[in-house]
Amino acid sequence: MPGGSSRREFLGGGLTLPALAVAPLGAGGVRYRTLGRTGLKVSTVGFGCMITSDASVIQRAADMGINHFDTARIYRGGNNERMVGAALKGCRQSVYIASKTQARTRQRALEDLDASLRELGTDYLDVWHLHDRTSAAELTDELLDAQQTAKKQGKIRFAGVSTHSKAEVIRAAVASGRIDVVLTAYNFVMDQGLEPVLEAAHKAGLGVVAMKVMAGGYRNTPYYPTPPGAKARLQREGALLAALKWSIRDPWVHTSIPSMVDVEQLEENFRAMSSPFTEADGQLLAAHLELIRPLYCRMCGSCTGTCPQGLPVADVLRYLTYADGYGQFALGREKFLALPEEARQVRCRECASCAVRCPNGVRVAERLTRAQEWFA
Amino acid sequence: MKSGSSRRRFLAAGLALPAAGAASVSSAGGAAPLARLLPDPKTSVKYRTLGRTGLKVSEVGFGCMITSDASVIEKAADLGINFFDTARGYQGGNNERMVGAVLKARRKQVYISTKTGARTKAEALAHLDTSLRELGTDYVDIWCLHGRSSGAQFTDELLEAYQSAKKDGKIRFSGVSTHGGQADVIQYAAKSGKVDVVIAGYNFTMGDSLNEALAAAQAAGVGIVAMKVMAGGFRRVKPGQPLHETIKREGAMLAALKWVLQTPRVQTTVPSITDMDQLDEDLRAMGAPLTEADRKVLAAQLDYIRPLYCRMCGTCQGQCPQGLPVADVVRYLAYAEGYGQFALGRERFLELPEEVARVRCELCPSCSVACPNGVRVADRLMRAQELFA
Repeated sequence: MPGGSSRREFLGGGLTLPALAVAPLGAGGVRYRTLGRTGLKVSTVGFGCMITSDASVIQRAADMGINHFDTARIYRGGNNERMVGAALKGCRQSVYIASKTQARTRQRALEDLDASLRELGTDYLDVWHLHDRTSAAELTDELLDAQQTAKKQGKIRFAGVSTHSKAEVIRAAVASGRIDVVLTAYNFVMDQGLEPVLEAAHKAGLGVVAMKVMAGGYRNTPYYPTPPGAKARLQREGALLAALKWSIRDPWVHTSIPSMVDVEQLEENFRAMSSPFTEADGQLLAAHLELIRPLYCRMCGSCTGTCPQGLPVADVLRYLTYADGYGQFALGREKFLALPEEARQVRCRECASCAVRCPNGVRVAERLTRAQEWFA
Repeated sequence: MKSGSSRRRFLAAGLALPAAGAASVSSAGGAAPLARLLPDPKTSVKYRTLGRTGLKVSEVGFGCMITSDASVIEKAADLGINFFDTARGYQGGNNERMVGAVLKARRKQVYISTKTGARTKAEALAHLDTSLRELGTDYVDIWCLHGRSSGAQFTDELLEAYQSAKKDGKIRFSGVSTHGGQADVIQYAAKSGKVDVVIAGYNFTMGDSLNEALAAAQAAGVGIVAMKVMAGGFRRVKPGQPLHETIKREGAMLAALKWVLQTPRVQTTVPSITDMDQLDEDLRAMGAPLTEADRKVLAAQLDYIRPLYCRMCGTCQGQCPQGLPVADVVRYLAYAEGYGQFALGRERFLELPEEVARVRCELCPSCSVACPNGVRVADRLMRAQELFA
């Protein structure tokens, strides 16, 4: 794709005449921020590739000037990296690629990294994350060393960690002095306590990337009665666009990486970069929050350990959200079926009452029962 | 769990009458794309009789293979679509579960077809039991042998499996799906009397090549379900590429569906539908005539996909000296590039026998496979190897 790369250089160069360079929704709307001490200039809207199955959407995003693409070794049964690599091959130098490993040992991590490079068809990753860490203790010396080794070998440019919004992990990443980028779940429904943590990370020079910015999506969810007209209004006015603008509005979030599965979603998200967050957006999000309150787990962690049957409640809720929020049934079921056998066999309807209390209004027992009906 | 089950009942009540559900799209909290969709959806859905089965099936059915958003299937059923096609093997075995979960509350108002890739009676019947469990139902309406390419593949034991499943009440009708050797399979169904329904790849690229077989099926009362009606999709002609504006503006996918529905020898179609916009578009094919403008769009689309899309004519079978199953590999690549389902294409490729998966076409100085329809075979195969191997 020689044509592709020259156009990309042009984009990187100035953006002065976008209309001539790219197709209609062109680079005029792209905004960049510096990803902390990495110095990478990342588009404020990046691309979460996890559930994308159409490579042409990724290509189109790169054509439009989006330059941060996030994948992971395990996504799509290992097939996601291959697709992302193939889609971006013609413009590797002008984009940033982040991938992740779930490994817990140095050796496995470095093996994963080699597999990622092979699958992506590239010599290096821009950011290599330790995937989904839930406590400071999981940032072991061994793994941080593995990242440094990979850096010395030129296989990665920067070290990162991803977490589903655990403040403890972000603080530990800052304290380690060896993590360059944190990737965290972050959205309008979350506990405001996370904002100062992100600000501190930003001030310490870390790059901050936000995922799950749309709070589960729920684009097509008709499951709960809503006030007359509310759903139609939310859809028309773009609650998900407002959610993305909410995330971008924070100056210490350098890029946000919503999932995008088609060109329509790409074009909608693209607009968030050049649109301010308005009063109307705030009202939309308040209405949307009412809609998803019984459904969406904010990952606050307060239910951890409260199920007498030992269910990992927040995880099961998240898997159900993959199915009915993201619209990715198979993903949710595969995750569910990967739970330990004893957790898979629990049936919530056999409990006389549910001991798990969600402080945010999720109808826990009902949601878990639905997950068991759908997936078990 | 009380509230859970009462919510289920609420859903069930809302879904008991598909037509009523359709009429109340907006109050059911329907997605906005559908708000503009149909002035009166229930009058737009047309039904045909599926051969001797007597089932009244909507002209546009729903191919569930690549759907991952269950709410799209639910919405389709709300709007009066009543034929849903899945298979044991789709989405690593997860597709049946989703289809079953979403249609459970209205099982009696819809028809479900599923398929088995089995080659023995015992394996086929075991698959069927798994299908019923995953679908959460006591019976499937049509149970198909999956992907057969000749009459010879209907062995006595598989025919016995049909009979046994029918006798046990686990299936209502026997079926087969085919995308290769379709004419032979359809003729077998017509002559043998053993197969009630054929799901055949059929689209505008095939012209009248299947007419004779389809006529025989019609005469024999064999129901015909058309799949692959959009000839690989390829809906995303890139901006700037030739034909982009024509194809995008005029709706080549809609025209393709209308093309198939022209013939009464096809009773229903099962396009893949992954989102509300596609559902919206496909619904409009019912009762809409194929216009001159549609024909022009299809001609343009055919020019665009000619080098890419395998019409499954079977001419290339056995031609590759390295033993590549050329049509299959070209199809897997179309899953990635045409359907936009990269992982599906790669998974299928990686299931090929090792000696085939290892072939690299670039090592051949020239390619001996000649496609009569203009597919650039060597280019496509190399692309598949680059993407998937």
